[in-house]
Amino acid sequence: MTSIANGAGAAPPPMIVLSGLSKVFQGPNGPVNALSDIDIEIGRGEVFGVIGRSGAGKSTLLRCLNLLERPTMGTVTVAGRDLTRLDRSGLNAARREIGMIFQHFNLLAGRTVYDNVALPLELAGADRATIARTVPPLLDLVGLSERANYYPRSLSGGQKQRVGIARALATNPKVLLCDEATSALDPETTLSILKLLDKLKRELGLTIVLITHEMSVIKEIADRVAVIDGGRIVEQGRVYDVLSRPREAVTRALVGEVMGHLVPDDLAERLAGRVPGGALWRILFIGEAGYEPVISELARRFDIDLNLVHGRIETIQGEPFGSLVVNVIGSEAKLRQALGYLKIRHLDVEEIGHVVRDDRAVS
Amino acid sequence: MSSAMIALFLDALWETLGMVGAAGLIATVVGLPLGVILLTTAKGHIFAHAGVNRALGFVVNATRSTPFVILMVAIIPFTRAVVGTSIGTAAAVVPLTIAAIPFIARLFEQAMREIDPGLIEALQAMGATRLQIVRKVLIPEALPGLVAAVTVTLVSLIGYSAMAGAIGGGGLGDLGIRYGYQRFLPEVMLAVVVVLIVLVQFVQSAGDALVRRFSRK
Repeated sequence: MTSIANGAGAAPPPMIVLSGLSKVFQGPNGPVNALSDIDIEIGRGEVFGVIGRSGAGKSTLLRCLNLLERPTMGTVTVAGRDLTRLDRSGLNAARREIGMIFQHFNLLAGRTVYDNVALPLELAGADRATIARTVPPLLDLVGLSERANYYPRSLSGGQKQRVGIARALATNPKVLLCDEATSALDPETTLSILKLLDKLKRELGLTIVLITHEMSVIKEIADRVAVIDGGRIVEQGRVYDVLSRPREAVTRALVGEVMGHLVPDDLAERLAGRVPGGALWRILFIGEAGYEPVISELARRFDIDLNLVHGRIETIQGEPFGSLVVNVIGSEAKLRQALGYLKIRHLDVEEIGHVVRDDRAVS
Repeated sequence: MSSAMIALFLDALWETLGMVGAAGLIATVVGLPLGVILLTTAKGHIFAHAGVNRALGFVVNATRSTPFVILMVAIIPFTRAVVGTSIGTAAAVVPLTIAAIPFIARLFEQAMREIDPGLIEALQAMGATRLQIVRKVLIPEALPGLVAAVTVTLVSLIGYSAMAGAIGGGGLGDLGIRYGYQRFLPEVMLAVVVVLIVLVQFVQSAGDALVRRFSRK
């Protein structure tokens, strides 16, 4: 899979390759397959999101990337090096090139902001001068220069995560792993942290892998996304593609939360079984199609009535995406024609309601 | 109270402080690594080792469940081997230390167990060695709890040292028994109790102040 390749030239080697990855835990009731047969490639400078419900295995998957969890089978290759073959000290050296941030920040309460950021350097055996040279620019990068001598307890959640990010970057890693990094933050702070991550990706060329249960995070920052369910990757692709055309039920549910192009539950209930006539369609406007005047054209050309039920327009990574639920009323034949027309126009249409009129013969 | 009596009191106080201080210091120095081993050899921890964990746990529990009076008598041969005598202040330090080591080791273990496992995971993700995890996280982050453990141990040692006094260990307990009880001087007994209370209060307050000072939570 080389979907990250730009143009026709040879793709650069991927930063992270997970191959045939499985993890089996010994549970009280026998072995549990936490991860099964995971194959993922993540390109350099890419932001890759993994989304799933809690217990889906996303946390285990992320921890396999720096071998905090050792996979039962398969390999983990980061920057061309198979981590599963390294000995303890080799692994420790490799981990310095993989930064990690956490949902609950995991800062040391007994150390100041400055000393927390200095910690990975101390562990790597850096001298005082190196630390003094490295830490201030990092604090500057995350906007916390003023707080260098504060203890974590006096910082807000967003500030704590910024310290976490500065700390993760201290050893100049190539990869940043984000473990539900914004799940403990309010929406506004979440956005500012995501913006910071995006800046790091652009300015440092960092490869970022993030796991989350929130599709809004994926939509905001990720280039590609993998949907994990029951320890398997059920769907994987460009964020726009997965969000606009989710295939699996679990993906639809996750996408529905943020995109709202699924009919809301209460509405669906009201419509169920009593579509006044005709059919209920969901029309997806993907990419440039998002700007086209399809509805009025349908009404004119096919002499059918369209009743807007629910609609929404979103922007995913700068590309427009719209979804419209319409109740179309007209004869069977005309509806078929209209449907055919939409397909020719490459619009995705899905029939989500049924015809309840019994005077089918009428034309 | 006569000046001779006051001199006796001061001597006894010094002896008590000496016994408690020496036993407390040695117990802290030996108990800290033992506490670390108790914690980190547990299942799923950084030095997980079922055999070591179980063996050490057994020794610690066995020592802690032996009543101090019995322990004191039972290890007389060992005490004699170490300090050359089984009577006096120096001799009392040996059983006090032996009793205090497993006590404080368990308290240390518990204090370090309170640390969020996320911190250990964070250090592992940074490529920390296991000894670095002990030095940079377990001990410094648990410092308030460790200080509290030392305080509790010193308070217990003050009580035990009075017991050691009863079998010729010197100190305030010895004074109380010999003068207060055997010579029927209830005011001496009372004075001993008051001094012990004040001493315990002082140690506890000093310990609490240190805990507050180190606490960054």
